[in-house]
Amino acid sequence: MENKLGEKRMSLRRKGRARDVLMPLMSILIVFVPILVLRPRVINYTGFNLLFNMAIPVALATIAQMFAMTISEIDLSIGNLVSLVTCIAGSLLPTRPLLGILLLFGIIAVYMLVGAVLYLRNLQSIVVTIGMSFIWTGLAIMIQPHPGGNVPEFIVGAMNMRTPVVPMPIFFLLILAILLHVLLFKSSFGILLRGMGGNRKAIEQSGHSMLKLQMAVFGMVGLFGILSGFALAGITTSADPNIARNYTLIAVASVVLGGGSFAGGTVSAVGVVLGACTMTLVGTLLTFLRISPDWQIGAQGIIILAVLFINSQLKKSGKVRYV
Amino acid sequence: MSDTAVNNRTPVELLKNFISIRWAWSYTGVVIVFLMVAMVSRNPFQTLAASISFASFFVLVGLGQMLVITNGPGNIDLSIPYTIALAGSFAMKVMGGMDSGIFMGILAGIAAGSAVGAFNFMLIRFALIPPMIATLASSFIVRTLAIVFFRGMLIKPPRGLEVFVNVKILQVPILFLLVILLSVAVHLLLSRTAYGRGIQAIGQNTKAAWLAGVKVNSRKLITYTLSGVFAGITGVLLAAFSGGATLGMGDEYLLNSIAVVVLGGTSIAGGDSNVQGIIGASVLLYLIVNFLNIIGFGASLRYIVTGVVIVGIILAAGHGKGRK
Repeated sequence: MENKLGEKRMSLRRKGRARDVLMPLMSILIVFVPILVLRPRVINYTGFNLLFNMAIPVALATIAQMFAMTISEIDLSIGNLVSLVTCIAGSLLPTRPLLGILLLFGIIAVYMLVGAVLYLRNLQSIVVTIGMSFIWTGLAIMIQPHPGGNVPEFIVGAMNMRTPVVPMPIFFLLILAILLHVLLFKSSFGILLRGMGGNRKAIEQSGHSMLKLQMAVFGMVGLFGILSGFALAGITTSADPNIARNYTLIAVASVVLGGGSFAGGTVSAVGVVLGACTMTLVGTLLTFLRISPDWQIGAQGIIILAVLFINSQLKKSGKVRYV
Repeated sequence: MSDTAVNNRTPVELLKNFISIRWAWSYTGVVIVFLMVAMVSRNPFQTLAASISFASFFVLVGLGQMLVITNGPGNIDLSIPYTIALAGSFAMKVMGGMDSGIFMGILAGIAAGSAVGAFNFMLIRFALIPPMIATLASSFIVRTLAIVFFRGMLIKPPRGLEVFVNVKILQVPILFLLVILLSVAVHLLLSRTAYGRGIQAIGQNTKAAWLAGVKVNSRKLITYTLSGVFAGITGVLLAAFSGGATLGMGDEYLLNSIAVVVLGGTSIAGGDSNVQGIIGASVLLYLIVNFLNIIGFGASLRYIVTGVVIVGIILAAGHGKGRK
C-alpha cells in the first residue's frame, strides 16, 4: 500500500515536470504552426529573422521579471527601465559615453539597493517598484523627451548580425535558454534562487545570507532589463521614453505562460523563452490572418487566458471550494 | 483611567503614537506640501482646489483597488485603466451629447464597469487564474473592445454633465464632495457590514475565514464587481471633466491606483484597510505635482519626485508584509 502511494506520487511528480515545458511548447505551436501554414514563404533565413527579431528584447525583459518572480517578488517597473535604457543607448552613449556607462552601473546598483531594502525593511516589491517606475520614466524623459536619438553602430550591428545557417534571433534565444537553464538548475545560485521562492525559511536557516541573495537576484533583474533595452534600441534604432511601457505586463504574462508562478519557486528556462516568443508571435499571426491590429492586444489576452485555463484544469486536484 | 494615561504621555510618546497611525503620513505630507505651496503661490487655496479636483479620480479608483487588495495576497485589479476607458466611452456614446441621456449614460458606464469586474472574478474562480494575470488579460480584451467599438475617437460629453462636474460649493469642487460621500459609504461598508468584515477576514486568512462560514466566493465576486463599478464611475466623471472619453484616459491609473492605496496605509498583504488614507495620499500626489509645476519643474523632475516620495513614504511608514 505504502509502496503504491509512493509510486503514484513519483509518477505525479514526473508528469508535473513534463508539463512545465509541455504547456509553453503547446502554446507556441498553436501560434507558430498557423503562421507557417498561412505564409509558407516565411520559412527561410530572412523570414525567421524577421519573425523572431522582436522576441529578443521581450525574452530578455521576461527573464528579468522571471528572476523577481522566482523569489516571489515582482518588478512593476521593468517596462519603464527598458524604455530608459533605449534612451541611454540612443542619446547618452553617442554623446557622453562615460555618463551613460556610469548611469547603467548606477541602475544595477539601485536595483541591488532595492533588493536590500525590501529584505531589511520587509517591504512589498510591488509598491517599491511602482515608485521606481516613476523615477525611471522621469530620467528617460530628462535624457530624451521625444522619440529620436542615434543608437551607436555596435548595438545596431549586433542586432542585425548574420549568423551562418541559423538566423541570429533563433541562435540567440537558443543560447539564452541553455545558459539560463544551466544557471537555474545546475548552479548553486539557481538552487538557492528557486529555494527562496519555495521555502525562504529553509534557505535562511541553512545559513545563507538572505540579504546577499536578494541583492544578487535584483541585480540580475536590473542587468537583464538593461540588456533588453539595448536589444530593443538596436532593433528599432531609436530612443523613446515610452517605447516599452507595456513590457512590464507582457513580461509578467510571458513568465506565467512559460510555466512560472506568482508563488515563486517554479520556473522553467525553456518555458520562459518560449512564453516570450508566443507573446511576440501572436501579433504576426493576426496580421497574417488579416485581422485588424486593433485586435492584437485582445488576442494576446485571450491566448494567455486559454493557456492558463487548460493548465489549471490539468493541475486541478479535487473540487475547489474557494479561491 | 484611560484619560489620565493619555494626558501623562510625553511628547515623544505622542509623536510615536501618531507615527504608528499609518494614514497619518499622507496627511502630514499634505500639510507640509501645502505650506510649501503657500510660500511660492499667491493663491494657495486655488492650487489646493485644483489638486483636489484631480485627486478625486485617484480616490475613486483607489476605493475599488483597496477593496480588492483587502482580500489578501495576490488580489489586485490591473484592469482598471481600460475599464475606465471602456466605461467612459460607452457612457459618452449612450449620452450622445444630449442632457436627456445623462442618466442612462451613467447607468451604462456603471454596467460596463461591473461587467468587467464580474468577468474578472469568473476568470479567477472558475479558470483558477491568479488575479494579477486574470485582470491583466481581461484588460487586454477590454482595451480591444474599447478600440473596436469606439474607434479611439474623442466622444464629447453632454453640456449639462460637463457643467455639473465643474461646480464648486464654497470653493470646494463638487467632485470631491461626492468622493467624500462615497468614501464614507465604503468605510461603513468595511467596518459595519458582514461583507466588509468578511473580506477583511478573507485577507487575513482565507482558509480560516472559509471555515468560519464567510462566503468567500460571493464576497470576492462583490469585491471585483465593486472595483469595476468604481472604475466605471471614474470613467464617466473623468470623460465629463476632461471634455471627452479617449482610449488612453485611464492609463495613469494603473500604478497610481495601487500607490494611493498603499501610501494611505492599507496593507498590501490584505486584511487591514484604510479609507481615509486614500484621500490623503491622492491629494498629496497631485499637490506635489502642482507644487513642482508652480516652481517650474518639468515633466521629468515631476515623475522623479513622485517616485521618490512613494518610495520614501513606504520606507518611512514601513509596514511589513507579514510573510507566512
